[in-house]
Amino acid sequence: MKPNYGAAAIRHFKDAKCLKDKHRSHLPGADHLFGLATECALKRILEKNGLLTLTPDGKPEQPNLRGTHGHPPDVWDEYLSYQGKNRALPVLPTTNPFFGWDISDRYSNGSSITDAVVTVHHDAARAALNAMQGS
Amino acid sequence: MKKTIRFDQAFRQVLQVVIRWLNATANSGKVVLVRDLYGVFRIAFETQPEQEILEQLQAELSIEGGSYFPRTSRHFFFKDDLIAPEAIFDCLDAWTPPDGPDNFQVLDRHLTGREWLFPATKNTGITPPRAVFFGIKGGVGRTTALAMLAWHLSKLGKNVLVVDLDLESPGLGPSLLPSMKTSGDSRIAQGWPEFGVVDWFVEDAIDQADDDLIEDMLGSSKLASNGEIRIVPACGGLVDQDYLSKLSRVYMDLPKLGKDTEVFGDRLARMLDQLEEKTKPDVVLLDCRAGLHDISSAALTRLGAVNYLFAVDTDQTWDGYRHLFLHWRHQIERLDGIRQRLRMIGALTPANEIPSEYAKRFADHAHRVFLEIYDKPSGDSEEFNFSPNDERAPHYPTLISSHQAYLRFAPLEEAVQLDESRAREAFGGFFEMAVSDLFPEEEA
Repeated sequence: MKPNYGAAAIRHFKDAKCLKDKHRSHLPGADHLFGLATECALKRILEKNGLLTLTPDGKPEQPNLRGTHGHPPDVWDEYLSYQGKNRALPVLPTTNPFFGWDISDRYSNGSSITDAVVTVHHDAARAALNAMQGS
Repeated sequence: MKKTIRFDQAFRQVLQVVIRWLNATANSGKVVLVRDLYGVFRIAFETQPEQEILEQLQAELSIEGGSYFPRTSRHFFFKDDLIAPEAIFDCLDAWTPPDGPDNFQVLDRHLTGREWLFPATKNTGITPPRAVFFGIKGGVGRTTALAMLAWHLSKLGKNVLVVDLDLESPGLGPSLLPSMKTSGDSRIAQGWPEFGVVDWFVEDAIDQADDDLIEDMLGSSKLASNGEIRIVPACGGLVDQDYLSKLSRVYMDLPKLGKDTEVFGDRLARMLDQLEEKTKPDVVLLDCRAGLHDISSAALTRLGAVNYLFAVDTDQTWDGYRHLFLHWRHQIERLDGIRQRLRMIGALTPANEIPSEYAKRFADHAHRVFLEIYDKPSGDSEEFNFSPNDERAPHYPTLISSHQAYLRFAPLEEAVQLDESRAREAFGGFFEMAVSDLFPEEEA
């Protein structure tokens, strides 16, 4: 399957918002999806600027993307280190909003996710989506 | 109270820690210190060091880098994990600090002015000689000197192409073309081309910078005599255009899917190639805006042109040039002979000065600044180094005198400005230097 980062970013963001607005018990799910929405949006910007290339069968050209890399929080800092590579890369806030967010939290019971945390991640995902759509 | 660590201090200290660590370690893979647009540091390793070492580095760098090495960021990357490793490990902007090991590079991200540190673009064909007219400060007669040189070269039978790159303050068009007037229903000023440099950039971005556009960017100046003077103004003669809307889109790098982004300077070079292909000039004169601006960076470093650096002998001028040379000094080697392409022009030489004495004083001040980009004397015959009074040196000025007759430059209205002997009085030395510079073979 060829990834469609742009569409995926929007889909995850919309789903996350639904969950966030529905009930407190859905906050961990919302939080997880805001992280994924951000990841997809940043990857879409990099793809559009020729920094992320896919092989003809849709795999990223870097075969070794592993561990926590490519996900928040790392992908945010990684993106910041590409900014300036060309003028078309939108500028994102310097403070990594996903510090403490972990892709492995999908296996957790979700008890550590608070309203405040989800709001920060919601705002970050929205900033990434705005950057994606404006670029 | 402990003082906040500021931008320059953070860089010095972080660099020191990383270089000290690299010199003491066996890490043989490439290491790149990235300073992002905020000035925040991250380090990319080709070979991953031990976790324990990274923790030590992190602790030390947090202290030395202050808020430029914040604890809330991920600072270490490994090549195999990066989405775009080539954008860090194989980037034109990266450079090796003089006291760092060979496997180490600094990659400084810039929002503007990146191309001050880029080598010249690769030309596909043979280009005519190009000269860029630049000044660290405006209002020193740069455009006037360019127009007068175009006039002089035309009298020598040369076909001259002049291009106005002073996009934020266009001046060449109004100097060399008739006053903007329309007649009848025409929407284009009489004697003006419809389009200018800004139009090329917006059209090119959607792949429309075609031959027709080039044709419609070219005007002819009435200053011409034996050779033609073709002029490309910054702003074309279309009366009801929105110049600022176009200007705001000029400095764009063009991302290309699956290919390298074409940066602004490469696009500028491509525009020039197209114009030169069309007009086949003997020489190209480019009026570049004053100050440390993006278009100046592209024009000075990337077009392979000789660069006429206009200056008046004041502290503010020298401070400006010093900033530029300090930025260049560690990377001067890769700037494709930029040092050999610099010529100092002593502009607006006061009428009450004895030129030879003024030139010496000027040269003395210029030399102090040029020392930043001259080699330290080592006895090597190849070294690029000159004494203050060496008249062949890039810092030694060619003088243009301040002449009442040229205060308000409008040669098409004030015929006196094209009076042969008056022009020679003010610009004679400059004409001579430029001709031998641009046409060395004929001179010989």
